[in-house]
Amino acid sequence: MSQPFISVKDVHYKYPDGTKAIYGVDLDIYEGEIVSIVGQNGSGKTTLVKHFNGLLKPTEGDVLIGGVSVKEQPLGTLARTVGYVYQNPSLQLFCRSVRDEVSFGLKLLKVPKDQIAKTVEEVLETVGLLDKIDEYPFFLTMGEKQRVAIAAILALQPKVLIVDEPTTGQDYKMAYQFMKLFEKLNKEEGKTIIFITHEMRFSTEFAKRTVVMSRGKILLDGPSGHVFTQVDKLKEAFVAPPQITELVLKMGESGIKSDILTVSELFAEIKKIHKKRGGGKWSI
Amino acid sequence: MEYIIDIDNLSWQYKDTEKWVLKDISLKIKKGEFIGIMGQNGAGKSTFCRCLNGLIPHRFNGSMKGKVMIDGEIDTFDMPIAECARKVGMVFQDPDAQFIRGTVEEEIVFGAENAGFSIQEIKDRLEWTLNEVNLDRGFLDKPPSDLSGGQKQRVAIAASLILKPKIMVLDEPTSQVDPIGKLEVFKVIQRLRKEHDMTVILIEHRSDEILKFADRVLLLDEGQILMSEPPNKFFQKVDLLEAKCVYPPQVAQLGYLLHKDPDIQLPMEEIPVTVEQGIECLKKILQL
Repeated sequence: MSQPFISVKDVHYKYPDGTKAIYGVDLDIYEGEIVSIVGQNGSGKTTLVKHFNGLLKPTEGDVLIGGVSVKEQPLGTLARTVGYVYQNPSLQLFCRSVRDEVSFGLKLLKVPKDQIAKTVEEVLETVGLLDKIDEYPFFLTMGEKQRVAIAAILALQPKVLIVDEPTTGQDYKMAYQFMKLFEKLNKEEGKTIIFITHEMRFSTEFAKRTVVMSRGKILLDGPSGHVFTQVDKLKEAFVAPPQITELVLKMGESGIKSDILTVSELFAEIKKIHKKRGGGKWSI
Repeated sequence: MEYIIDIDNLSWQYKDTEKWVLKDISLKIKKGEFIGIMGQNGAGKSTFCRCLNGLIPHRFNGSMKGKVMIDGEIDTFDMPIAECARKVGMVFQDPDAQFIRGTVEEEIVFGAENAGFSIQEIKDRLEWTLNEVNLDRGFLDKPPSDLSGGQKQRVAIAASLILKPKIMVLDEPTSQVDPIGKLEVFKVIQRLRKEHDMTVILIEHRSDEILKFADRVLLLDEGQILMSEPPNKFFQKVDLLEAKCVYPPQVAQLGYLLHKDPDIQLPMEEIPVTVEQGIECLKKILQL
């Protein structure tokens, strides 16, 4: 396997007030992966990912981005490589128009004006907000604010996009649109996506790999299909598996493969077994 | 039959806007009922809740048609807003937006102070309320910002509860709260129902809690009630829910595929909604 793009080596982190949030984490993330991180509030998810773009520096241990320690990389370079979208977009937005908001980072980086204009339009197109380019961000809906925040990060063309609870408080359609957007960025632009979520069905449907955190440590890390079958460990982390995973587990010796993750996979599997058994239509 | 909430042809339009946000809503809710409200962003859910505690028509400008009767024969239109607030407690999605005082104690007693209760009465009610929401006295002197999400929402519930309302309206109370916090909040709500026969109206995007707790679920869309059913029947309507951007449980989504499948043809009314129902259903289909 190639070299990991993000490499977390025995990281410990203590906040300035003395609260310890990370107790020795090792984690490698490769280019092109989609990884979901789940766990209770206070389990260290946000603290951990803030190490990936230098927002926090480890108290002990080291984080390598592209093979270089974050301690040796200026914040500006890191921000361009690894973009972080906050959980609450209101904390991130402060400009008077959507255009200014999305241009802000590029202006700081002294990108030529015409290039900025082009990039801003491109990323707003990607997140579906081109028609709001002149609006005041404060008056946008929660979902739109969240998308402006994502666009502002995408404008910097990071290789890695970290999104912290992107679907909280969104309705079904909006939440799915976000997840589809991340999937598209991953497939079409090869971006590495790391998302934190409390919505386990998004972990199984969109992330091949899931990391479960508990009390500042990684409790489970592996293919989502395997992670969500570890019932006892999940309980320890207060994480409930999505309905489909629970259903497959509880079906036991039924011939259904145990690594099924999504509704459509389970449907296809049932069709297969049903056919094999020569089963007919539903009867009472 | 006596209803605690009786809404008759309610329509509402905010001032200076074209659209009627609520259109001709009629609804009767029994005392002690737990009603879930689902619907996409912009469906009118929050506006509907404002009509229940008198914020509409007393604090918002606009045009109202129809009647909202709360706990008896008085229309919210003729009821002073202070009385509405005593009858109907409100808890919002973002507790931080609701907190205005320096400490948890000040926050909780604020409504009782405004209602003009004596100091002894306020102390007694504070004691009662803390017990109801299972909040440690050690929190009283802390600023609300020091609390976890679940604790904050219990403070917000306490601040409403101190007026001893008969109805609690909760607008996505746990969307910003993690699973343990959710559990804490729902425990409190369950207890209020059990011990005080409290009527609960809950707006939620997630099906899990609605499925577990609600007696009846409403689907609100473009200001109208499209569906009003017990949760089991409600979530079987997967196509309608998906069209209206509501999360159906995954098991119901699977059931719906089995319903549409020409080889299996699972009848609509047999679509499973919970994991347990899903197991029964699959066992039958696979002849296990």
